[in-house]
Amino acid sequence: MSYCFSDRYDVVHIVYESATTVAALVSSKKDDALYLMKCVRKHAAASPTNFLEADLLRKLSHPGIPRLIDTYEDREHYVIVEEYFCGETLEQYLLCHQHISQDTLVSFAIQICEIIQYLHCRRPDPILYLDLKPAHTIVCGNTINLIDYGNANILSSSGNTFQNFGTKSFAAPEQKKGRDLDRRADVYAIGRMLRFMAGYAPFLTRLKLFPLIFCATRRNRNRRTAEVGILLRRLRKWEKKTKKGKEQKHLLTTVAVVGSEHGVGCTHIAIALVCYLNRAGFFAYYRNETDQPVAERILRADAACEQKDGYIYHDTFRGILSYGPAVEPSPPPEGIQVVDLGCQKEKPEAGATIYVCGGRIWQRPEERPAWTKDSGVIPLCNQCSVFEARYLAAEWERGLYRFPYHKDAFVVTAAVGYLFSRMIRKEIFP
Amino acid sequence: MKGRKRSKSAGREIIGITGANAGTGCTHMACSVANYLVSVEKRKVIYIEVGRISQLYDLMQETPVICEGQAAYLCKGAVYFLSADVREAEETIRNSGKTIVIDFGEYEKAYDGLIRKCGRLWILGSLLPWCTNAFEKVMDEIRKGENDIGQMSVFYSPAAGDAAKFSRRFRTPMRCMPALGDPFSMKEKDIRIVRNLLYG
Repeated sequence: MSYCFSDRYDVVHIVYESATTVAALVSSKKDDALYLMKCVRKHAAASPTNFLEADLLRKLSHPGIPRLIDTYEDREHYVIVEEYFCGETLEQYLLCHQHISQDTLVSFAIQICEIIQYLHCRRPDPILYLDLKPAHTIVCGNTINLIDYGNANILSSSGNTFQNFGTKSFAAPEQKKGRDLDRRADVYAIGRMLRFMAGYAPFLTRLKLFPLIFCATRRNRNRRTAEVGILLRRLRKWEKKTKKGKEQKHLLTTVAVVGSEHGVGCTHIAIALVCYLNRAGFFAYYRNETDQPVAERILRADAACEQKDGYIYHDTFRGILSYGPAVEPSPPPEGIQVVDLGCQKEKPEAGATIYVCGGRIWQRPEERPAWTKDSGVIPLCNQCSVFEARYLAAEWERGLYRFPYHKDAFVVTAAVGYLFSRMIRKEIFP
Repeated sequence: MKGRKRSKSAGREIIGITGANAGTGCTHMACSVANYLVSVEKRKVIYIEVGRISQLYDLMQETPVICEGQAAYLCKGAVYFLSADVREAEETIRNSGKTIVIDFGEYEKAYDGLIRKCGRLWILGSLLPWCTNAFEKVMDEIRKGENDIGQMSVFYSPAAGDAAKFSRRFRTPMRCMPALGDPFSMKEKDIRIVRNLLYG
């Protein structure tokens, strides 16, 4: 591929490579702008006479669809150069953020529907996209762009068996079976995309989205939502409604977790709280203020964690990496920060403080700091039986929460979820 | 029961950084590595600046501390021994079980013994026409005792020169000197670069 356009473009790096297709990021020699170059072997292209993707892109003009810049054809290859959207795929976005708010989800869904509706409403030849999936959806800030029109095709009135089977999890049943297709195939894919995003959304949003997803992903296409326009109208209506009754944010920004002594499980509880809050849609992150980077040590041993821009992510966990004094600290993200203070004697400055103590005889604090009796402090007993917890409650003359036995702090079990939801309802946001 | 005594040198690492000429960025690189190891990897690090004139003395505002029986400075978590001679440096290496970063500055023949103690040696040089001779000379000198050095990396400054030719001549891969920011106030980008240099 490098020789085809070597006089006009420099290959920066290969984005994707398969037996038939190579996609590369190229830089223009003329103005140093970045473009995406796609090179397809002729026998693999959709049509033997022309490269359909280039023809389609040439006709389209939408901010969410890449512009066609250049085309080239030789004996073996079709090459197209198109606009490059600098951002991350929806898949990567959700992996890094681990959470999507209701507003963002609705905004993304509306943008996807708008692009698909634009394609469906083309006159005289409506276009079917037929390969909608998170990997083809690029998030650039707050905007969504749809790339890769390799599977897209023109919808004609007489028979539309395109032999494009799409992607397994997102393609409509009729598409997977190779039957004739219409606009409802794309509606199904939008429904699947909504379901994918809803997995990272707060529970209530998931509940509200359910009817929309259900109607869009019916296996029988005759009972499925007939047009993207219907989905779009419902989403816009929902967006309008939520905007009206919103903007009542909680003021809590910091929850401190303090242990009565070393080894009572302060870090464990802080991690579990972050995971729970993120799952519940509060957008929380972990900050370590102890000498020991315990959480990082656990996470670095786990291949599933990801580090990016001073943050560490793992499933629903998000934490700020605790570097030493020689590193400039990253600005704290918006959300609730759960500060792991370890064993600290002074009163922490936080909206709410969870005071963790052990139930065993040798873990019982001889002298409780005076500030632990304040109303903003929530006592929590870890690794102790009901009897030990009762003993402590009687001694302290106040009720305390008992943390259930929980091996993996990054997994929110039903018992842990129940404990934190009760704690939040009664103590943090009464 | 007699317990087995753990050697002080077990598990520690010595990273040496030397330059073919003055001003190649040895101190900058060495400080970045030391601060990375202290701040990101939470290792206990001793920084030894070998040479008569200290480049770092003005930066050390903290009062001196006594470490391994010698006067040193504590800055951002790392212990700095400034303007140490070869004998003092060897003594520190012998007595300490911590990770050691040695900033040799401009290469001298007298440092050979110390260089052979390094598990990793980074040689920094410039390929500018008036610096190439010195770079080649240093490479020749160091390669005589190369077998004793655990891992050697050669960095060239990106200004000019034919790195490929140099690399072919000395049969060693050359790496372009990365642009690092303030080593005492590192950013995420710098962390990524140093991590790549150490483990990439």
